[in-house]
Amino acid sequence: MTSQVKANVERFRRALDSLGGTTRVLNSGFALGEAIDSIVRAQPAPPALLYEPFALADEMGLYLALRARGVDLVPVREAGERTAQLNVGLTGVELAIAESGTLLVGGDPGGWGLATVLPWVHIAVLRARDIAPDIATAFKDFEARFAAGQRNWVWISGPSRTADIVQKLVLGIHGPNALHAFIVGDEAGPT
Amino acid sequence: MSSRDLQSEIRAALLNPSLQQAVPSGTRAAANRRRQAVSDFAAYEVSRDRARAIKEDAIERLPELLETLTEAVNASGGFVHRADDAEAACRIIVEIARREGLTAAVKSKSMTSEEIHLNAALESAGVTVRETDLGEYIVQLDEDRPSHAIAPIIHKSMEDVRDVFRRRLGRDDVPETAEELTQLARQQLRRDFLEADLGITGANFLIAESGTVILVENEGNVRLSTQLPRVHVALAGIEKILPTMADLEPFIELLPRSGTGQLLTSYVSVITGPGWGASPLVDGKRSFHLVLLDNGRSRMRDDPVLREALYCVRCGACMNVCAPYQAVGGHVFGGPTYQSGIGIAWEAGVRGLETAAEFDGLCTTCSRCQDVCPVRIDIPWMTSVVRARIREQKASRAAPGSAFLAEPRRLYRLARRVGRLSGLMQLRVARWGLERLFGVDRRRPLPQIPDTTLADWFRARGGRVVEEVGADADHLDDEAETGLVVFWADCHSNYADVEAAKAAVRVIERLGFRVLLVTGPCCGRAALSQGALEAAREQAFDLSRLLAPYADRQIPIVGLEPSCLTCVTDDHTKLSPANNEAFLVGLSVREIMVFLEEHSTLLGAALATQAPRPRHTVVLHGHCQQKSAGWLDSSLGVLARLPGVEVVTTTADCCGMAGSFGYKQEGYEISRELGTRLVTEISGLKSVTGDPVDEVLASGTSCRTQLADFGDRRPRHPIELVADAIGATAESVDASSAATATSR
Repeated sequence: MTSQVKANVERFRRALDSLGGTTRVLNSGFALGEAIDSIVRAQPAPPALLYEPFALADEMGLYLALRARGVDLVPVREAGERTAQLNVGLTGVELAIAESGTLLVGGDPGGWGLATVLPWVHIAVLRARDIAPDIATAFKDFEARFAAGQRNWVWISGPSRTADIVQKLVLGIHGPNALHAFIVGDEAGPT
Repeated sequence: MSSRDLQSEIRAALLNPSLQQAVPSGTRAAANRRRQAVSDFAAYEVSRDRARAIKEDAIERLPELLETLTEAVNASGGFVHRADDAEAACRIIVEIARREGLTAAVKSKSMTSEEIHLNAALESAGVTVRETDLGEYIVQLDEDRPSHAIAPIIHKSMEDVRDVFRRRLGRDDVPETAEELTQLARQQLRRDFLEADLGITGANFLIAESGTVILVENEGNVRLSTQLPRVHVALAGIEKILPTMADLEPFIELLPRSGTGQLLTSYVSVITGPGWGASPLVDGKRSFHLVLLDNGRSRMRDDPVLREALYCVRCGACMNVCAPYQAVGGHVFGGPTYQSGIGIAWEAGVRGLETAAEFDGLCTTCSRCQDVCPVRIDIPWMTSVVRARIREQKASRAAPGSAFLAEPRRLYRLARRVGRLSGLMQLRVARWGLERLFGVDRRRPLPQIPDTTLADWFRARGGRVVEEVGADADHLDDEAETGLVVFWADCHSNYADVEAAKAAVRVIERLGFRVLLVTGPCCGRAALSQGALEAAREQAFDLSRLLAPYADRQIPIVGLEPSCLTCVTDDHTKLSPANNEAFLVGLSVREIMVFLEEHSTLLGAALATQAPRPRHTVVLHGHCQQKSAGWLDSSLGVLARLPGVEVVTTTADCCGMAGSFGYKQEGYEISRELGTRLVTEISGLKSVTGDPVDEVLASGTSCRTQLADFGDRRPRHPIELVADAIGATAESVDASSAATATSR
């Protein structure tokens, strides 16, 4: 990683941690599969994931690693009645923002959005080099992709939260209670 | 006329223990988070300017942008509906539900939907509506109303919330903690989300160019409302429009910081057309409808004053710093939908003057709101103008009190005339008369007026006093302008707070300047805050003419009272935009402590001649308008230079007196509450080294009166401490001043 990318990664991790998310830097599909598997198995239900296919997971062999560990992978489009029953969602990320610990998830049109909001736990996998240093820089990139035709997005900064009851911060009101971001360095997988 | 009994509402709110516990702490926490967030944001002011300019442009081009937006939404596969008023909007949404066969709606927080009473319309058409924002859900269960733009149940304590769950969900085992209550709500609401066929949201912004809806939230209920049900209806006021996606950037930077102190909220949804989500739980095609509501907004756009209200992004920052709001909350200081100062303009715009008149009296026009507004909306000015219109409408029944309180000079002169009879004024019958005739609350102590005015004193020690236009030309011609300073004595300084003004004159002289005293017309502040715009305009005109010759010669004009000074620097040009003299004077006027900071070398030299002093801990309470004008830092900077002086500041936004507000029957009880809170805060303050407070300082006449009325200390103006520190006290200066004073 270049020093700029490293700095972005560090800043992103601090920001997301402070929002109640967790971050890890991992470079192999195997290690990633192991880490995600343990998150899935910490949930009470049988090990299963609601997911939206993304290129980075394929490139890293993540799906193979998870299946080999016995995790049931349910794509959102085929989830049917199970959509709202699965406790863990897995998605990729288009862009991220170091300053604010934000994940920008975009796509047209598809079921991708639900895997980031319906489950109790959201796992996101992103490339280190997709992290922009600040909101202003990310906004330019976002705007360019928007102009190019990608018209639906969600910017996610930490788990779902509320402070409506006596201004006390509580995570997990409607969306995920936990957000785990796995950051993949440049040396992992093809670029 | 008014169907509300505001006095009873105020009293009930002040006596409501859970509101008195929840509102002050909630607003203070939110205001602190905002302050931290914007101070960490280097481009804050630039971003505000950009946001303001974008809003101005968008509202200017509104008709054209609405056309663009409509075409873009249609092109993305959505439908656009225009509603002229509340009734039309409800009819349209009910019709969508009927045509699409919808029976169960989930709804995210939307003030616009509250403005049009959408829930009632849908329910009576057989569509169930579930509010899904946690606060709004509790409001709905309790059949209550939200009391804040972004924290709907800021008025409810933990016990109140538990009680709602107990009564409305029929549970005896209501959990104790916010975490458990939140989980309980999640379970209840998740069922509603999965069963709903209609999702209703508002819109934080609409991007005309692409037909995109931007929704900013933390809970995730907006996301579920827009992604799960088959049909998404977004209801938005037409003012929410921005021309392009690029224009969104400053708002994305400002809205979360201003509202909750976050860099970004948990979720920002960018939704274009019906493709969003495409939930596998939905059978068939999804559809998206955008309902654009006018309901008075076009009239507001055509109104040169209310137009500014359309720039509001509903962040709620203004409410958090609003002292009357902090005292009684948004149910009392608010209309049917919109709260606090910004709510006065909005209710006047969407419902009419009668509705605004029901609660406009609670705005003190202190300007703290304008200072924190991300788009710099001039809320106090809008309040003054709405007030003027209300006065006009009920001219025949106008309370004489408002006219009486609109000109402090007359008030002070009257008080001096009856000064010898001041014992008489304390009689109950006299106070009763004052209350009946002029609306001055009988419980408020009347100010003590000294026998000698500042002008009398200044003249007696050989100084020149200018009180009339035209008296200036001659003396200026035969006098060196170098080293000359005009001390402008506002009414309070001339008649009431004479000691502070004397200290100011002595300090200026001690630094080596010659002082010319100008006094006379009221600045117009009092009239302005009463909504007496014509009177204020005349006063502003007279004062500008009196001061203009000095401004024209670039002679500094120094004054004491922040509310009068900001009236001159800010409001005079608003009252008469074409008044060049007012503009010129505004540029030359300085608050005394700002003037001292500008001459810090001279101040340093004066301090250097003094013997060391013992440690002296002071509390400085900032005046509302002084803070909004950015002048408080000068006071802090000057006081920090005084040897031995340690300064701590208060956090209270306003002392609660706010000019005449605390004298009026309408304002007295709120004023007393805020004054008591401030006195309590001060009694708990210590220096950083733990020393007890020796003295309380405040720059505003109102603030000093308020602190003296509800506490046991008599505060001084900071300039009096400066006078002590440089030895510019009565004995040392007055004797020598006669020699150097401007000769007649």
